[in-house]
Amino acid sequence: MERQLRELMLQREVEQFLYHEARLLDDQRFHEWLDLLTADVRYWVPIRSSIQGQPDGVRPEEVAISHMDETKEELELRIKRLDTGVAWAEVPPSRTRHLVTNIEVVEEGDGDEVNVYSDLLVFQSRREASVILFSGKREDRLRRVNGQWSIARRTVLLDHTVLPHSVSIFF
Amino acid sequence: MDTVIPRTDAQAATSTATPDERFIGEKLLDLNRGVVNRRVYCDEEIYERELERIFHRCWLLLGHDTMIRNSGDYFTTFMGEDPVIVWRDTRGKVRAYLNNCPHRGNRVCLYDEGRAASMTCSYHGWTFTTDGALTGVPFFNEAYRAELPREELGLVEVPKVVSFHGLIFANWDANAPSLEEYLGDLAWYLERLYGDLEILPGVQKWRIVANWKFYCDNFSGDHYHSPTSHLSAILLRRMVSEQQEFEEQRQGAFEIQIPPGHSIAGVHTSTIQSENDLARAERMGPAVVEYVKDHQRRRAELFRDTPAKPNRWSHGLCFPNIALQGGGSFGGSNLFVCHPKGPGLTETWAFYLIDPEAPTDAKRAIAKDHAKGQGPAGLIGLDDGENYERMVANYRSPMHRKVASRFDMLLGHEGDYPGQEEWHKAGLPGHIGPRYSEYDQRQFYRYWAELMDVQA
Repeated sequence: MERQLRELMLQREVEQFLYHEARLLDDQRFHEWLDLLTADVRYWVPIRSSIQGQPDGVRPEEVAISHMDETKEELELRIKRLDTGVAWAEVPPSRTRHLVTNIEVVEEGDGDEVNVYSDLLVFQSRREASVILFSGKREDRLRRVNGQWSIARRTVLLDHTVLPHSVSIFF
Repeated sequence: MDTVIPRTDAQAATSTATPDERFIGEKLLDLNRGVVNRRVYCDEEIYERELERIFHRCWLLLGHDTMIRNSGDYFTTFMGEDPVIVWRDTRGKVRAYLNNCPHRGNRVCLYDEGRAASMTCSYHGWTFTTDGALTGVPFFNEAYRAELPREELGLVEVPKVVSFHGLIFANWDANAPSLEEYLGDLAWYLERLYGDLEILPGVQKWRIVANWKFYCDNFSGDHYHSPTSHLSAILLRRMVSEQQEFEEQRQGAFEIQIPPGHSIAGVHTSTIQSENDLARAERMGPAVVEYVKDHQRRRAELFRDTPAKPNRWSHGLCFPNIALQGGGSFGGSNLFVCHPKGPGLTETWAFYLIDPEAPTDAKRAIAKDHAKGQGPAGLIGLDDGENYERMVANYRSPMHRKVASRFDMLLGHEGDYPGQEEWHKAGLPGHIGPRYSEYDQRQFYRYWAELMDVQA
């Protein structure tokens, strides 16, 4: 019973954390979003291909091109680019809605780090009636730092072998 | 289409353009005035004509030999809008076939890549081997009474497939000139800058809302857009190509147009790139330092016959739709193929080639860098895509279509460039021009017009 209660509490904490994170992105509070990431974070969006005999479609090679493969400093650079006010791909800023669902917590070790899977649908609109949709699964490693959850690692497996648009947003 | 819109007094008072200059009516191009009718981008009929006259006659890039090293290996791609399978046959030769069952037109190859000795159509079970032959027809005797002419029903094969120092080019036109003839002086550059490399695994594929020619004429010779379009990257003071251009000095920077419609542009020969690469290598360890020194030595050797040693090129185009870009020891040699998907849609595929000798740490650094520049999330490419998308958003506006697009920078000044005597000492083949010019783009459209059989 105690274990079940603990799992329930953890599930709720992680869900609220991911919803809060999504809210920051949709509200364009990017610096606050950056603060949710650990200093050693790896934010990785690999390419997915339709490879015969390989279901998940992520390249097996040790070194391969990705769509994004960022350290915290590199993500900060992207946000600083937005801050310049002349990053035309986000001028005016996209209207986004991050729909986060199917959140599963896999607890490991002493409870200060957990693996979390979540599914994501991002609606993005730039001009008038334009609609861009990205779908994907996030595999996160969350770490509790000073009582707060933070993202130590995020892998975004997008469901597109050909991206429907260029990527000026965060997943 | 009306050729002249009467101007109001207000317009007459403020505009210096006569009506003729802005509205060129039925003519699609007037390159002697540096103007292009916007119908060449918006119009469905012109687009369909391009699929025949450009994409069925020009040499197109399929990929790289190192993507399919062994017999049976394949990947799929497009030539224009035609889906093709690129398959290494049992004799080790690269072949290309229309990805289309000759029976009813189903797709035969279902994957982006893989290895197979044969492929079977999921409709009636016809089976094809790596040489394209139809080797399996279910119930051939009972159902067809052996009457089906199997030998005539192999996969439709692309008649010309050639590997140029590892780059796989192909042409639907069996009567096309040879690849070398088509490339002209571009072959000299491709051999040295793109020759005998290997693919960094992973082809970025993404769609941009753009006519393929927006992307291609930009890569052909548009420096003028960099200070504005890429201002955010410049403000970041990063080591991205546009930024470096502004740091490096003009001595040793060339725009090179190559007849008939190619270019290799933003070519740099100063030593700053090499110095920066060495400094970066120092921070990564002795193995990487050794690689960089060796890479620089080998590149200098490739250019031993010319005074100039190109080490970076920020633009370039192999007509019609292969954009070129590349850098020093960490820049790779990069190709962006623009597959047309309609007048207002392009699917860009990015191929990054690197030195096979590079150590893993260097390869990893190169791979990470590439995602930041020109790819779908690239800090440079993003803003170009946005501009093109806004241009497409105007397609449905009749007034938009009546105003001509201008490519008239330095019109009439060909060959009249201050300091050009110095440039020619560089010994680089091609028509060398100044950084800010639209000559390369005019030549792009001139060749386009020739192939499309329209007046230019």
